[in-house]
Amino acid sequence: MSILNDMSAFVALIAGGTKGIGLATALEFARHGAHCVITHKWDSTDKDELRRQFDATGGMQPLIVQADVKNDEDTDALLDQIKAYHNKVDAFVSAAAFAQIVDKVENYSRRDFLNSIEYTTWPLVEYPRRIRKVFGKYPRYVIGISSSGPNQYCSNYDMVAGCKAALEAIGRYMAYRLIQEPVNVNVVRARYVRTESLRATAGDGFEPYVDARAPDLFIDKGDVGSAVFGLCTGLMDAVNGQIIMVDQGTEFYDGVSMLFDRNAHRSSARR
Amino acid sequence: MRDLRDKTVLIAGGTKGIGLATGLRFGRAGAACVLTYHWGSADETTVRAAFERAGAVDPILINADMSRQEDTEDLMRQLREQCEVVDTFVSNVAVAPRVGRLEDINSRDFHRTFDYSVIPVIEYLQAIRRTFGRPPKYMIALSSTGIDHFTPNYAMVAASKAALEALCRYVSYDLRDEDFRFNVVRTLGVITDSFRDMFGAEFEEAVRRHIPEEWLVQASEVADVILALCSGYFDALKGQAITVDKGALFADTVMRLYEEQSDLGL
Repeated sequence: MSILNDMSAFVALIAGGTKGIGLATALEFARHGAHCVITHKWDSTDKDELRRQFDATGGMQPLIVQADVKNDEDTDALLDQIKAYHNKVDAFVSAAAFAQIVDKVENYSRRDFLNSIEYTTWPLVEYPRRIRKVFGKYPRYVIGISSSGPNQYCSNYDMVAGCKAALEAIGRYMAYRLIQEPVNVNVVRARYVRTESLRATAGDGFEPYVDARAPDLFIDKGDVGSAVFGLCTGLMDAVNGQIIMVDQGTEFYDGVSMLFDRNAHRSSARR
Repeated sequence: MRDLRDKTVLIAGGTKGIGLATGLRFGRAGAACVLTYHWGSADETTVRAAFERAGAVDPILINADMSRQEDTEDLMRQLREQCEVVDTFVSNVAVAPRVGRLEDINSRDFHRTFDYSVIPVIEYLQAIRRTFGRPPKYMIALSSTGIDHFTPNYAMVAASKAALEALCRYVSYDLRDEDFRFNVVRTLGVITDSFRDMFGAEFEEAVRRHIPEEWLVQASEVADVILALCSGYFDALKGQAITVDKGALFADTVMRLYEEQSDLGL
């Protein structure tokens, strides 16, 4: 007996689904036969390349829509467009994020922070609400993408971490508020995934630096997508209002002790 | 992973409660289940009948006291005859002395709890790795939200579960280069025989009065989560503690009770 339900009628909407973890998540849904709707803000997306990647999954092509997550009119237009094809949205994944890069308190900006909240945090609330208005019910699964940033220092990440912490707290409250509805709200935290976002925040030198010391700290974005998909299989329905860390166990050991431990092993091996 | 045919799952404490539910779930998915139990605690006929009703593969039942070295060696020998590899190891064992107050904490209960509920879990992993030349691909230990949220008479169990969770993280680090993932599932108030033994009927009644039915987690729902964690979708989870409580613990506060006092008839 298969442990998976048939996903061929499943509709997944992934905001920020044309890049990085959002795209990896969409590809995982496609691989399992689900319908994907992926959105992006900037018109820099190479759609042919995207279509090639979806072809390679053996699944269906996604509906690709330009929609600014901050803009409610864009959201409504997006949902109208989805309605032309589907009568429901089963999963909403909030993978969009946008924030100012900062490296000192003097550079924190109230306006930029509030703007980042609108891009990074608020879609977790606004999209499900509007989906309910248009389709008559909330998505069965609402999943926010977060990172280790709220817990542990990440370079230049102050504003993003603030928005992700808010995303996690709001996700917990939504899970409680919607306890009577068939809705699970969870957040998936990822760590050190090789994406444009990582390069933008940590700088181009970070990856080679880690590769030379502890390459196991990098997480495959496909593994993150796979966990998001796993939360939507029905098997995890008793998991609600949780923060799930997808990091190969690395948050626990990343740090000076680990580097020391490995150096000690290397020198004892040499001896 | 589409189904689990040809997979072997070892469930220590597999004839009752969450352990049994997990066996049934894996069995329904086609896995061969090896269930251990102790102290004449299982009626084999009842367990087999439950598997048959569920349409699950008939399990192998083995009487093994986890704290006895000879029993563990015996179990490994029997496993070796049954399978090439243990794909999944789930530990659902615990002795649970009722200890709540400072003056109740004593060395005897401490050693009994750790000797029975903590060390053997790790020793089983060591034994599997020695016997089969590799660790199980998936290892799950049952824990409880009681480790960082007050639960009556639970001090010693909580201490042992906290120790197990710490060891889970350290072992995950040590075996990071092997095809191995060890995670912990924390449950809240799953009403099983052990729950009743530990907390008594009065507490069960209080839980049912204060917590909406839809928040209570069934053993079968925990089993689904354990299956999911061993399904291939969560392979990048290592050394994590996953809380399976439907979100109930977050809202288990007096503020929530105050808000809902009239609905709950309190």
